[in-house]
Amino acid sequence: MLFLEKKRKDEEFSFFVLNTQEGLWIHYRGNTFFWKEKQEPKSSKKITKKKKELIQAPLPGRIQKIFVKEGATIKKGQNLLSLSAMKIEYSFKAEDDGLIELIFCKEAESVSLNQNLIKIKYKKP
Amino acid sequence: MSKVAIANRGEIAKRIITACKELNLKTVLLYASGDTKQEAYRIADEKLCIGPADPLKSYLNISAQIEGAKTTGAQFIHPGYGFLSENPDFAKACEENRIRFIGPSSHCLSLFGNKIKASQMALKAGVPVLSSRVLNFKKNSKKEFVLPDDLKKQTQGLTYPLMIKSASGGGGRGLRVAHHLEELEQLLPAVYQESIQSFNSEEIFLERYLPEAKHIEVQIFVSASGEVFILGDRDCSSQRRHQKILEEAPSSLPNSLKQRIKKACLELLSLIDYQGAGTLEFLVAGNDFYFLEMNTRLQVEHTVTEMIYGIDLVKAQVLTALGRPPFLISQKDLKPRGHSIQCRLCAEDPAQDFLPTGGEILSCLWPSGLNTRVETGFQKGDEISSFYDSLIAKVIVWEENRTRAIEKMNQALNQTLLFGFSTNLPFLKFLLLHKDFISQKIFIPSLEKIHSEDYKNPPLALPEDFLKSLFQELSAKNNSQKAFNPSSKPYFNPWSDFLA
Repeated sequence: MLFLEKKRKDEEFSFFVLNTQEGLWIHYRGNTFFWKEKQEPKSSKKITKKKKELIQAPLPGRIQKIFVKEGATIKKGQNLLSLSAMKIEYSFKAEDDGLIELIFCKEAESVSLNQNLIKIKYKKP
Repeated sequence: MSKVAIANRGEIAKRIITACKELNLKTVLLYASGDTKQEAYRIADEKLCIGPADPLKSYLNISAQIEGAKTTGAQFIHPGYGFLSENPDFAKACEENRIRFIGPSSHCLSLFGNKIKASQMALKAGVPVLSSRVLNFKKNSKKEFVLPDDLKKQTQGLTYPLMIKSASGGGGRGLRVAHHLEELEQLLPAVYQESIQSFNSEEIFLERYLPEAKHIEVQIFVSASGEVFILGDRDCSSQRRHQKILEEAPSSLPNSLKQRIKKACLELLSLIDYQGAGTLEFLVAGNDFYFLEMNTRLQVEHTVTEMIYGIDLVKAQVLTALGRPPFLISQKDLKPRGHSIQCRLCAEDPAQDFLPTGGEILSCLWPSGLNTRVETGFQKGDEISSFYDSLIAKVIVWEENRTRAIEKMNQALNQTLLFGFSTNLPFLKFLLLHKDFISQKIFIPSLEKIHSEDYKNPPLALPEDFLKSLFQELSAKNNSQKAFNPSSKPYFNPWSDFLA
């Protein structure tokens, strides 16, 4: 982490900064923020980016509730599953219309990091 | 020389170890595998790994904790808060193994661990409680939950809106609100399911829900000789999903009301044989107060009471376990002074509905100065793991009055720096200067509203092109240095893939 004093036009900025591969952590005038370079050509790609068809546990936790059944059709934004880790509950929603192909977990089951939870077949890839 | 085992982690483990060391006691940290990137691990006299990272198999595992204490020859166990701190089975196991549990007896823990028994106790002491009822459901022959036909009759006399939760559940876990009978019918199956899964209980607790209520709690302490200390109150109404994030002492209640609450606490305590630190929680609406529950342990927010009384509650707990007086100062000289505020810095992103973050702390600077206190268990290079609580640090200030305390806290938060992942810091700063907080109009549901209606993430305060050229400049510098440091790797964020 560096403390930098920079001059730009007639303005002076002094701040703490840490450079990472992804971008900059900045602490300026009491506020902390993370700056990432806007990647314009890539962002248009992002829209057509393949939707995640396999939902995996982003952190170890416990399956709180499964709202869908295998073979069920789902609508965009529909609640699929909720996972609780310590005191925080996190719910997974359908990214688009589709079909539930497989469910790998049960309610109340403890799951580990990256464990497969649900496999979805979206209408449009 | 006596030895204290610490059955906890993070900031509270560090706090307990420090207090024990000051009292010239040996400490042993009972930790989970991999949980070594924390201050408590570095400062404890001894460490013993008692199980895998999953807290169910380590910090929440009674036999592993007892075994750990016995192996290391500890005569005392301090449970901290959370984990096993209010578990009567744990206290009982300690008693059976001749280890002194630093806290009240297992009998007290089981008495106050059950909301129904606790309310009955309060009623017996003449302390007001909210109208409530327990519904006991039995599954049908197919082991499915069925709504009883006479639900309306069973809930007669209760005032809507109603809060619904498992009778055995503490805190905010599994708490729902129903505004009418139909909503109650809709919510019951899910609450029942959770109650069975989380607490193995078929009892559902219904209670009148007050939307414009403050959460006020009273810190009490009972010495080894049975002397009762009432150490003022705290306002903990700033909660999100029933998790407190900002606390202050004293509360803004009028003196006459404070006196009535104090009297109620004394009445309740006269019925039980308590020892050590405890907190009586109340809901206060207008000029009425209702007993909620008693927390039979140290609270996360015990610090603000310490600041206004100038005492050390953790040391007092340990001294009480040793059979010594908890404070050097006598009861009549223990008087509150000034105002104290605590903010909880958590690994949660307010821009993404408080989604848990976490990972390695790449850099951090904690505020310091006169009457600015930071309780944290973590430093640069440590990791906030998704296995455990999201609390990173508690920032506490004391000043002569509330206005000055708010100003001091604002400065302290401005001096708080954490690089590596998003935290709730911008929301804490926003809340601190919000008109409803300044004018003391925060009620329990207020934070949800403030977050969804008023809060906006602070904008990038530096021009985009300036940052872009800075990034290029620093990256170029980094790359030239990298030739000498091939081991540098990007930080790991478990959410990065998920958020992409």
